[in-house]
Amino acid sequence: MFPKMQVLIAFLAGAVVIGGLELTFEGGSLLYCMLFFAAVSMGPIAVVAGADISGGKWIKPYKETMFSVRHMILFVLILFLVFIGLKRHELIYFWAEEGTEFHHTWLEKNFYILRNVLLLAISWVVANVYAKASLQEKDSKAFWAIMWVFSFVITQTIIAFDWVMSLEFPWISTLFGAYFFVEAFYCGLAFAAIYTSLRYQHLLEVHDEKTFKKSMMDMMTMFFGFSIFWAYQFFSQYIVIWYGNIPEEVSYFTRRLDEFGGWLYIIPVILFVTPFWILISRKMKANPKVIIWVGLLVWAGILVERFFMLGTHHDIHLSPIITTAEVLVAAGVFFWVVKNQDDTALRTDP
Amino acid sequence: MSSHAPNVNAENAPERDQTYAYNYKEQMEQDVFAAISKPKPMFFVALLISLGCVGIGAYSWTQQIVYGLGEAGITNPVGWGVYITDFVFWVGIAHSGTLISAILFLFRAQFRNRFNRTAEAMTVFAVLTAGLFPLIHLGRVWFAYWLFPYPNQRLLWVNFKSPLVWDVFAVSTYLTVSVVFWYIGLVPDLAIARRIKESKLQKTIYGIFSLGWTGTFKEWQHYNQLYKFLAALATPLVLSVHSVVSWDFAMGVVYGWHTTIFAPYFVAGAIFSGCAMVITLMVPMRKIFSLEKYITVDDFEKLAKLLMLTGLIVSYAYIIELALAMYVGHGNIYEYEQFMYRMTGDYAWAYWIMIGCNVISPLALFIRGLRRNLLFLFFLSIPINIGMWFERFNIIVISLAKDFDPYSFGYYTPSMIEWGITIGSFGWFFTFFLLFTKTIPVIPVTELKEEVE
Repeated sequence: MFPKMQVLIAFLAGAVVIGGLELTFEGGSLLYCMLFFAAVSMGPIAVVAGADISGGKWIKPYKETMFSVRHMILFVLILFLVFIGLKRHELIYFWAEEGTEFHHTWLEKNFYILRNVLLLAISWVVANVYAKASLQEKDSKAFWAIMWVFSFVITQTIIAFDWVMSLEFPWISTLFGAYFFVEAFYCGLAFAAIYTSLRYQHLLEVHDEKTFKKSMMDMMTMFFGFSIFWAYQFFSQYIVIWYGNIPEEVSYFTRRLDEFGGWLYIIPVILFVTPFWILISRKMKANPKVIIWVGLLVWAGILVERFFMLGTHHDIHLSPIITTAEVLVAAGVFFWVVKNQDDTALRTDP
Repeated sequence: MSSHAPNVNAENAPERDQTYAYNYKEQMEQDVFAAISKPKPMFFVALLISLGCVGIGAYSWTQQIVYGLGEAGITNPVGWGVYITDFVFWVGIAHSGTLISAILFLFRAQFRNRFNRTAEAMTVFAVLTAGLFPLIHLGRVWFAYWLFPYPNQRLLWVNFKSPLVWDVFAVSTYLTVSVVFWYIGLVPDLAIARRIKESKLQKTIYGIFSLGWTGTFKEWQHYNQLYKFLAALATPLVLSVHSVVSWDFAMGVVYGWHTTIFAPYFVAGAIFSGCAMVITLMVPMRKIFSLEKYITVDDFEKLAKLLMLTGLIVSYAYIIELALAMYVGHGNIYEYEQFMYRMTGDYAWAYWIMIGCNVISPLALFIRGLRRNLLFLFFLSIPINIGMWFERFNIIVISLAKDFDPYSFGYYTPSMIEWGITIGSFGWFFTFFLLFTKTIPVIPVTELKEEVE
């Protein structure tokens, strides 16, 4: 269950480098970095859980790699501790400022730290127990898949509310939590697409070719379906706020439009229009050279979207160099962990 | 392998298994068509009760037409009451038919084959029922044609910016596609009915509706392509139709209505109530028509899982709405007060019925034994339907009863006319459904035969 020493060292080294970078510039780069990797580390496991619950056999060739991201939840937890240690929450959230007169039961500094640490820790533990049950094809795998889904939904919802929505208190959107966990799931499918392309030859050798190609087609069909579902969620949130036109509510969009103008429309283009038109074709879905770009595009789209989410806030400053460096370091840790994760012992351990 | 199909590949005995499969298919055909044979006295009793309810509804509506909309309890500030609640409830019921048929078809979930015919029929009848309510709610129903965009002397057009007009398009598109999808799926079975039926009149009627189907390879090829295409076309409709219904409320600046989660929450709620209604209809039907061999407990368990999943999504939405109202607190006093009023105000009883029926009771489905107990499922599906009716009542009525200004606060009590029309709507729906069970095979014979092959 526990990561190997080398993984722990990689996490600590990554956290030290990111913490060091963060010290050079007072801003929200670390929050931005955590926001993206929280989605990337939890989404792939949610995809496996969905397949395990519904009895989908197409997940088999992907299972091990999808689970290999689970220790990244621990990395996000370490980054969160660095974030707290550097008192970035006091810098970013007006309700957490030293000596603030704002009092709120939910938006209270210590409670905020406690619940986020607990949720990330519980998610990591549940992900590990579930990975073991699923890889060993135990009877309890469906139970742990359900537990994971609960943990995933609650954690992503709280991340949406605590890390982003609380910046704009009293602005609320009831769909925000669901929007986050759907997006994390979408990230998980993008990860499957990237992985399939990178390891295509290996996967063909290890698995029966016909079965693998069918699994790949099913996975990419789901990826295509989620591009539509993402658009549905995006539109559902946007249309209600835009049509309602209540000043304190619509300002969420108008402020971003003022700041970024037409660039904002790049989000639906990257996260919906492009994947939709590419993946609608069966040929494209089966082409590993194409799907890697779609997967990377979706990840890039989510990075851009989260930049727009945070970038307009007056308490958040995102230095292009520091933010890019932090994301690249975290991405390096991510790929290193995925590449070196060996779950042979977990699979065979009785 | 599931228990409803013979194990045709077992024990290297293809010939014996082929004979068995053939006999199984013959037996299935006989069993399913036995259900649409001569009705038993109990059928007429049920039909009479349904028609009695239709009579109550018709009488109530006539009263309203003669004496005016004042006969209903709706008035300022609660201008939308039981009629709109009924409308949303029936559109919701209509929802799962296309879900079970189209989406589960695309996902290749075989258990859909036991339920899709009934669920699709339910969809069509529920939309027909729902469609009555905007007319009833109009009051002066003879002016219903004002709703349609047509060139007229005063150059008056319907307001295309209004979500209510979007709703007209969404529901009518949904009805059209659902009817076509249902009918296309029926054609091969109608051809079997044409072959089996002995009366000349019946042969002629089934012959006309089976469109000359002979079951050639080419016909099957076209049929499969069309069915797949229609399933793909119907799938976005599942999302769109109830999302648009939700926007009838969410676009309005009324607290309790204006919330972004409404679209997916309404869709999940609609599937939840639709699945519950499928269970309400299918459990007794399976017993009465002796279809136990073809619709197994395993199939019901899968449906129960879908019910559980959608129930959890609905519960999530309830929790989020309430939690965010508490979170925003005095930062948005109207939102906060609206939810406090729901929980503790004049209509708290309706709120807690909803919570009990939709959040608490489906939790029992986590127990496998209960998921597989058909009697339990039947008795669970009824409170879920009641709970889902109350969900719509809570959203519509309570939000209007407590608006921004204390000056416009009010209390709404539905009148006997409104209850009469509600009873009538159930009678209307069940009359159609009972007639369906005696005219069309209640489970798709050809699709079940395909499984055996």
